Amino acid sequence: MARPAPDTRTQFLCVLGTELRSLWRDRRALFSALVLPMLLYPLLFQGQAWLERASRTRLEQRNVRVGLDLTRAGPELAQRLRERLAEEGPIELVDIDAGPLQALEVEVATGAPAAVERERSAAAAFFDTGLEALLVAITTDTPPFVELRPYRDGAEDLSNEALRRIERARARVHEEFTHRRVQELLELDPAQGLTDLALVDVASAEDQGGAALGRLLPILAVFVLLSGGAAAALAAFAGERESGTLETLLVQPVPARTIAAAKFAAVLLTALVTLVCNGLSVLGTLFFGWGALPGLEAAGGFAVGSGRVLTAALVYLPSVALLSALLCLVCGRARTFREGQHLLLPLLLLALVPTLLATQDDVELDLLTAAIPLGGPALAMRDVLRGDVVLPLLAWMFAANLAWAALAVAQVGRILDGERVFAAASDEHEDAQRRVQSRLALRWGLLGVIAIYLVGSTLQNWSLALGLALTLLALLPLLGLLAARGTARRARARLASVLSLRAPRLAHLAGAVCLAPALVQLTQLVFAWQQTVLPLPSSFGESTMLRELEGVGPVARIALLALAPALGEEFFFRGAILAGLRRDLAPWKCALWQFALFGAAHASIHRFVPTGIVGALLTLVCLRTQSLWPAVLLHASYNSLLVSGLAETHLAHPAWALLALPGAALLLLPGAAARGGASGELRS
Amino acid sequence: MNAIEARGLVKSYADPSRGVVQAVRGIDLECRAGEIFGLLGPNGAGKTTTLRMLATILAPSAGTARIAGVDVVAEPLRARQLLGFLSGTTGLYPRLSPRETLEYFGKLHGLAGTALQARVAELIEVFGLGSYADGRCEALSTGQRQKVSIARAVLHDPPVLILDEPTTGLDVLASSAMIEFIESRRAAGTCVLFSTHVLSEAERLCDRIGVIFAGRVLDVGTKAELAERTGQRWLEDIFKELVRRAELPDAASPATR
Amino acid sequence: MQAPEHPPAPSLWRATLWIAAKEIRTSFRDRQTTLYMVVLPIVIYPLLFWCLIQSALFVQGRREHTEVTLALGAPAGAELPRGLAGALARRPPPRAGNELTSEQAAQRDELERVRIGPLRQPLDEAGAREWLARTDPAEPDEERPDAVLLVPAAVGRDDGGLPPDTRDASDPDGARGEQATLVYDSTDASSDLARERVGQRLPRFAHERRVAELPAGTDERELEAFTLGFARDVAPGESRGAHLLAAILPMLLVVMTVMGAFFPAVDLTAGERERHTAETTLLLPVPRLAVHYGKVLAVCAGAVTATALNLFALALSAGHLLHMWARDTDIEVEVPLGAFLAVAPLALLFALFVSAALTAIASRARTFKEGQALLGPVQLVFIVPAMAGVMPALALTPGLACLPVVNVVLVFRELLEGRGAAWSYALTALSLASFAALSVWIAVRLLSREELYAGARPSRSWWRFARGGRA
Repeated sequence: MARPAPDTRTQFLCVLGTELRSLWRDRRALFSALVLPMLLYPLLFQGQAWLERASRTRLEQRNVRVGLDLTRAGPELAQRLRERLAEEGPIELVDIDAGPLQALEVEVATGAPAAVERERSAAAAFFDTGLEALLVAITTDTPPFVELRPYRDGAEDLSNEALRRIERARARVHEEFTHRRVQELLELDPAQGLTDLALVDVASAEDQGGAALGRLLPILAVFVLLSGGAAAALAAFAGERESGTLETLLVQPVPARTIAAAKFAAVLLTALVTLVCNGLSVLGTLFFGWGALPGLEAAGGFAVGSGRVLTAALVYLPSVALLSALLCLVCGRARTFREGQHLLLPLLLLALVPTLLATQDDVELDLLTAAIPLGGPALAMRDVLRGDVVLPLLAWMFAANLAWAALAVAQVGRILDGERVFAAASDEHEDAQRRVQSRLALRWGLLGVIAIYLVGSTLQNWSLALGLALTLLALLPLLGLLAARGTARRARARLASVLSLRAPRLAHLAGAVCLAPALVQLTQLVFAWQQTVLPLPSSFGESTMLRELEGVGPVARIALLALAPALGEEFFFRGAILAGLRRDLAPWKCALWQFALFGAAHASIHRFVPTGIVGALLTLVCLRTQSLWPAVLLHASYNSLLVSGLAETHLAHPAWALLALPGAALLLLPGAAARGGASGELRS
Repeated sequence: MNAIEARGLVKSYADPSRGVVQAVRGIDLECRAGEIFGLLGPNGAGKTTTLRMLATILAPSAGTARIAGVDVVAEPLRARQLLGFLSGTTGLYPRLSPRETLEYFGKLHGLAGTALQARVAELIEVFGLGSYADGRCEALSTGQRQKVSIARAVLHDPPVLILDEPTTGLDVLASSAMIEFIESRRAAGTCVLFSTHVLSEAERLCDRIGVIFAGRVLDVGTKAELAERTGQRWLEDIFKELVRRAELPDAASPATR
Repeated sequence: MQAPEHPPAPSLWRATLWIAAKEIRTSFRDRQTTLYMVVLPIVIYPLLFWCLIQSALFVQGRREHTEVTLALGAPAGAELPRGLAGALARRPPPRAGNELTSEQAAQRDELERVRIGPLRQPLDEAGAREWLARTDPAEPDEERPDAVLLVPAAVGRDDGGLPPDTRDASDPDGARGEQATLVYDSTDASSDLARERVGQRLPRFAHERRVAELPAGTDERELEAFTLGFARDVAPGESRGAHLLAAILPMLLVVMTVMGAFFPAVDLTAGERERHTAETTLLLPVPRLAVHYGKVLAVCAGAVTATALNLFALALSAGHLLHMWARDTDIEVEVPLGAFLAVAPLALLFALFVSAALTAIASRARTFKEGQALLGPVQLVFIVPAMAGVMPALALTPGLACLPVVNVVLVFRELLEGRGAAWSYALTALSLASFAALSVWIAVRLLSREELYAGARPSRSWWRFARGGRA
């Protein structure tokens, strides 16, 4: 007679206990994940501090030889300068005759490169005699007619140190003498009290320490959690799969979900312990003064209270749960230990992106940011450390992130699906073979993006117009051809049909043009919305590009900025890359990938979303019409509208967007291939 | 001259927890050319260690061993040229193809140019590796890997072949192929020394059998001789009887039960 | 029995080369190895620099569009100087000579705004602190200013100053009373931004007030006792570029060599044991020494490849980045081919030293995982002394020239700056050669240990055996 199965809770605890026990017995892994970092932090901080101190004091204590010619500055000024210079550190003042430099002054003032070069070599002559820096009073022909000009050798560390001392001394003398001059000229200084700004920082030492810590801790936490948790997750999933013990476990009378939950709990506990140990080590190092936080000038002891630190740790718990769950998911997919390890790097990068938000001082914790997974807790941790506690907001952050974690944990329950675990290597191989077209297309796409960035920008730096033309009309088509050739070969189809180069229906072309105004308005809307979270800096280069191309002539400009991109980019992205993608993926997935690739190709986070949307739409147009040309036309029209400025003036009225309706209708008419009889190009 | 000769082989090593342990405590062996010699013994008896000492992988703590007259301790390089070794733990380089593996070993054995190519082609044909000769070894099935390993072991046509549990983990067909291979080697005049658990194999293949237990050879002889000496008919019982005798406090006394 | 003819065994060096070639070949066939050692170095630097640029743009964009609120305070009876609010609210106009179009001017006004809040009088420092403090419940958050500027009493009047007897009673020497004071919170981003903006705009306003009071016909530049000329640099552009490179490249050389040797070292020792090919290698009819040398050589080749690729990719990207970022600085970065060639022999010796050391240590590991865990901290031991090379004023002394990692870093730095000395080079080469030889010898000894190969089966078999052979 069968014995009654033990209840789930007992089974859970049993599996959990075994996982923890086998982790505990792997001493070497424990050592390198737990103990080693704890020893390293003090070493690291101390080493860095020592190095900094050593290099600074070495320089500050070294004697510098400075050549002085202050004859044109007047005796009183010269005397004062000498006194102040002597106060700045060990210095040897050598009198020189800067007559040659003075003689060149008239030419140098014009800024001509030849004159500057002559001045440089004249000054260099003095350095050859063993001086580290020069301070010369030059008579100029504009008031106040005296300029105190230092010279240095930027390639020598000691010279830079000498310059620092000279500039400090010079600034003090400048302030003193200018004050006197103002008194002479104006009797009473109208700017009395306004020239110097005294600063009073209301932030307590604890707040300052907490703020500095809050910039560092979230990132450290991510690294620590991923390394500690990874050791456990790799052992629990990929390692067991490799050694075959996972199979054994799965045929026991324990629900797979219980096993998964127990493994998750093991990973979570390990991650927590690692975090606590490492955290204690860092805090201990700071507390005992073995090291200092970057950006914290206060040499006084580390002042953040334990209450704050504990609260900060508490607030970060949802992230711990989420990261542990993600680790389980990632390692659950890996078939071997090494494969799991290689998947960790992308996970780390992915986790760092929202965490970096916390290092941006101006990103505030609000309803939106609090709900970002990993980002919200990081921000909350930072705020708690610096003393900004808004309870309702924290509660919302906690709830939202727990929800994310719960979602991930639910997925963990499903990864121990028997079929996936028992899939043999050959099955995986077959699976990979099935998606080869889209995989290779994505690789080519990535290569294209990198090529545009590296090669394209080099060419454009050399010559903007020519570089653009070469990138769009030579580089991209070439890459596209290479990619499409492979696709055509694998699909045993003709190159032209793979690239969707067939003649389009007139209706489709008309429809494409009609869509252009609406697309312009859409992207402008998106851009405007984006300004609220991602404002454009004033130095952004788009307007400069238009200005630089002004000399090229309007026709050439339209060709370069409207036609060439339309042709080159469409050929590559919607022609070659889409050809591979659409053979394996559903239309919406193709659009998503194109969104990502096309957006990335423009190499700017400010342009990513708008151009991505354009790319996705063009993909859908291309897929629907089965031809590349409507997409080319739409792209060209869109660019022309933007470049010509019509978008801001005549076409700004929302009514123009209504053209999208007939446009879409025209595009939705069946494609030419369906009418004429398909040649097998329809997606299988 | 014997193909394999071992006198008083001893292997001891230092175990951190147990001090000095003797894995092999004085083994004498003699195998002749064109003979199949089987080593029988339980796990941990010292079979693997002995074979590894003969293959020059391990150095004996005491005693001597000769392969085709060459002292393995004095001239290990020369000894390796004269023997082929195969065991469950002798893997294939996963990222090389079978052809590349054979070429690599051939080159290191001193073959070159057309001679090397010819020999590799011959091996591929003889062992039927043609269909997968150029794919990576990691993609091969167990049976295919076995064949490639055998080809590697006999690449240089050694007079002595040492096999450590050659059929472990093989399915019926592959196992049978291995047995046929071993027999073919005997026909070619090679001395084959192999260890096994599978008594049916030992019965079928071996000309002589050596029983090892606890680091010592308990007895050596043909099956008939062993049967006579122990008074048992089946190899399994012969084996058990020999072990039983060895475990008595006075190992020399005859068995009384 | 006649031992058949066997072709002669290959020589030690030839066997070493063949074995190394095979190891290298198999290493690079591993997709992940090629990814990490070839593709990643080439892609990562442009990517990294792109990320840096984009994050700088991101931060700049956000900061420019952030409006901060500045409240003003003054002692009783004081008046704010005319024009102060206006001067603080907007970006100062650019220097004369840069004309802006009206569109650009309008755009400029939109950025870096400071909203001038209410004026409170009387307000002293304590009051300002309280106003800023978070715990003030009376003030709803929106009206709390980001910073408070306390205008000194002396500025209150148009005639330039108050008579001395009206000075602040709490500040009898009048030292602080004469200065404008900004009360802010350094942990608050907006407050810190306010500090930055006020710090830039207030001096300009002060200057303008003085200029306004000058007698007619006086040039405003007369207000200065002398001009602060900017420092001229006598070093040519290339040498400044070389200085920059000299601060970065030497340490990178060490770091990349160590990281490049890491993976092959583990793969060829612990990895081989995991794949069960350790025994196979031992059966090769070549001297054992050739096998060990071949391994070390293969690891060395991996380290050298990774380093070369990394440095090459970095040199290309650095030029690109500097071109984009530093259009107006004079730094010219040239690929220092001469220095690279000169340091190449030393780098090779160093790579050999590192490879042998890492291989020796990794040989103690039984599995890949263990190998990685072992080598991780060892990497730090190499990398920490490399940081000494970044210390600005460290010169290469004979003592330092004998320390393996430090000497390479310092010699490379000297070569990049164009001031190498023959004796330091020779001493470094000698030291590295000795250390390389020593570590190769140790590696060979460690690799020859039998436990490595006897334990090719799981070590359990030895343990079980030690218990007397019971199954």
